[in-house]
Amino acid sequence: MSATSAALQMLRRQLVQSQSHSPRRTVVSTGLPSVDALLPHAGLPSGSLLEWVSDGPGHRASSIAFRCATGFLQRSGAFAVVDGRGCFNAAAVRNIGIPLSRLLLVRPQGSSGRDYCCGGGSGTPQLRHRHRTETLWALEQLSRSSGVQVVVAWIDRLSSTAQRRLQLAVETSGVTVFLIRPAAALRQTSWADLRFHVQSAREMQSAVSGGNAACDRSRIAVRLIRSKNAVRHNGCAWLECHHETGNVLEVSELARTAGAEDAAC
Amino acid sequence: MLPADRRSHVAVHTVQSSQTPASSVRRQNSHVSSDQHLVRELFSSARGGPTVVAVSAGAWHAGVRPGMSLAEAGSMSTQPIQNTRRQAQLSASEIQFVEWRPDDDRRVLQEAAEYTRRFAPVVGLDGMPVPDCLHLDITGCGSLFGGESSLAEQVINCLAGRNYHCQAAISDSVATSWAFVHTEGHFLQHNAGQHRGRGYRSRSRHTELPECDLPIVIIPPGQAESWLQALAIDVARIPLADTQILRQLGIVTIRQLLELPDEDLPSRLSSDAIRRLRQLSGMEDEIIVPIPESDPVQASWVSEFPVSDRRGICQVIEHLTEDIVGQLKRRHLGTVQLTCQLKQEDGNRMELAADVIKPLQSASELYAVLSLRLESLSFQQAVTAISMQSAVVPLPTAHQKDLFNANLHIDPVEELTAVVNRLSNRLGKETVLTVHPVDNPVPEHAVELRPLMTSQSASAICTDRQLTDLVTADEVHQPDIESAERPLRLLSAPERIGDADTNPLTDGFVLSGQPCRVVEFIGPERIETHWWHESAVHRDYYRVRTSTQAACWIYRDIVAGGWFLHGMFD
Repeated sequence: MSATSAALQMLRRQLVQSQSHSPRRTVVSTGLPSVDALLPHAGLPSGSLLEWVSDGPGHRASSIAFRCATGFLQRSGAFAVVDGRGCFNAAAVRNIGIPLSRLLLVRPQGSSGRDYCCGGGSGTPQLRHRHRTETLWALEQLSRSSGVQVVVAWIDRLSSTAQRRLQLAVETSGVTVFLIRPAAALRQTSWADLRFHVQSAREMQSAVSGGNAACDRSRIAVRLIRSKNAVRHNGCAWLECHHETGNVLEVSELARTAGAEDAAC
Repeated sequence: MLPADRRSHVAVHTVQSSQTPASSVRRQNSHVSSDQHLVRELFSSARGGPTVVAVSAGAWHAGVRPGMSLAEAGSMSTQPIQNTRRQAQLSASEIQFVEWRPDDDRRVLQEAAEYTRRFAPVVGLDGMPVPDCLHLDITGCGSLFGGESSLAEQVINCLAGRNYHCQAAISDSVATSWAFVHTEGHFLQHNAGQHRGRGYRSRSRHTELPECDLPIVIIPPGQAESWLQALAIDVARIPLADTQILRQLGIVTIRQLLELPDEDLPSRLSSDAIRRLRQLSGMEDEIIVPIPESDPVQASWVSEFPVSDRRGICQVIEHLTEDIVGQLKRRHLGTVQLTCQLKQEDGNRMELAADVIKPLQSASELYAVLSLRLESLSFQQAVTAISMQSAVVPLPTAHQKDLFNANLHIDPVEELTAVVNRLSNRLGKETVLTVHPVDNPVPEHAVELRPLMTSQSASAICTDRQLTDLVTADEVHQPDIESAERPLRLLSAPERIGDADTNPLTDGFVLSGQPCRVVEFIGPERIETHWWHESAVHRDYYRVRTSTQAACWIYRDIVAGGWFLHGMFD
């Protein structure tokens, strides 16, 4: 090992240590060991901006984000959801393990119940712009409040300035923000502490093997594609949906090995 | 609460007042019509013509009774009754018939309320039709008058000096206090009972309740329910029709009423009756609507040089807010609403109202909320005058903050309150919501979304409870793997994806403008409502995975036919 790479590794270690020793920052387990294993501190840092990029509607990125956020419920503060799309189904979070009494729902006016995935938004461009501005404003206000523990929001477009403002807000308040974004966000610069990409197993395998590999359709791949300060920013966790209830669960070790063998064949 | 007088009076309800043209009826306050409705409900004679509503002692001795028609009462006045010495002394011509005006009664009650202002920061009128009592919020005031019993005694003496003979009840809820000062039921109901004949016996007081001559009842905190159990259902403030139904079912006491299963109530009682029951059992909070003060907390600014720029207007409003807060501090009160009127050069007025979820006494926080509302206003013309008025409420108990630890004083509830105030004022009250489960199988009605800031939120215990619940840390909640999964995204209007003669499970459907086929599905899961529901729902739901790897929730409408996309498992 050269002296340069050794020095780089030492610097990385120090960076990780300095972040973990911040008095306002703690680490919360996602409840999914395979996802925890991906993360620099073996859990999600509080007071951070976390991006979950989904390849499309119905890919369970939101379910996984909510599932990972349940660990924050053991700390005081509201669980806020900014529903700019107007189609968040609060009844569904009970199955994930989030009590409704902790849920604060902010639904800015003009939330039509239709979004970019289901036929596009409604109203004039001015109205849409106003609606987007109000959604962002609500998100920033909640991110600044110490009375809130977690904020989950679906945001399609987010400027670098807005991201930086959010980052500063969460660092000050200790609020953890889960941003759920469309695949188009992958082309944008991210200020998030952690950025995950949620893909279906088939798409993931297609990307790896050119679409020839057979795979279990119910599996979901969670990839860590960005980590702040470039600390451990690659890896993939395999999850699957429960056949009956649809809950997101860990893939068992045996199944994982079999899946890997299938993919190798 | 009628002043003691020497002449005999009879208050008469006239049908004419309810037969006024529609335009004038609309101008009347809604409470007047509810008063008249109650009278017509209690006295059957009031539906046909003028009826006696209340009588003085002299008229009573002359034989006039509440519920008599005016003609019958008038005939009594022309035939002096000589049965007793008292009646013999009374000349029939001395009976004076006065038209009953509910508004006058309320005005007199409000005048009485003014005498009690020094005892409590919030004094309100009873919210029932034909109100006959005042509600005073004496939280924390007892120590200033030598205890709560002493305070009650002083209130009674104060009103007695003005010829009002009163009873007082102190408890931790409005409903309980009302019940203990109306143990015979509402005075009109009592009058109606007396009119039914000599055989009538008040069913209000149960034999187990000890008789008490003192006009003051103090119910210890937390014991309201046990004290109430012996009372009759007349004190529950439920509508007369519901009371009759309950009596037919053999339910005559509060104990029996509170023992009824909650799920049976909606099918038997009106929503108003259920609300009253919830208030009585302490499940729903009831606030005292304060009577506007004769000396309100207000501030104003007038200038001969109009202000046109936003910054100048903001400065004036900030100054007025500080003035208002100064007045509040002097009176030891808080505010839940600031109303601001801006007069423009052309004489037009713009109104600005800022609400807060909990009583505040901080100029900076109030100004922060007001300035958010200001952002939504566009000033076409310069402003020449600004006036500001505050709705006052008692201030909650203050908590001491830590001087040396910057983080220790951070109270999540207070922080959450501040952000809810900001969001509700900038985006609208109906945008900040709490979620409550509803026992309804239809997915779109499985939860009820309620605004956190409502007109009744200030000082309401339930709002405090909700805010506390929102921030209180929980134990680890395991995912509910027993119940069926519901999608995180539910379309507000289901999107049609197939007709009755097509089957998307085999033929595929169009999602986000792209055709896709179903590669896997689970179902059907039948969701349907009972036949007696107005908008009956009969659907077969399927969880499907498409060729684009999207997990969707689709259903077939069994009755109308056709297939619909209802949600996405995001």
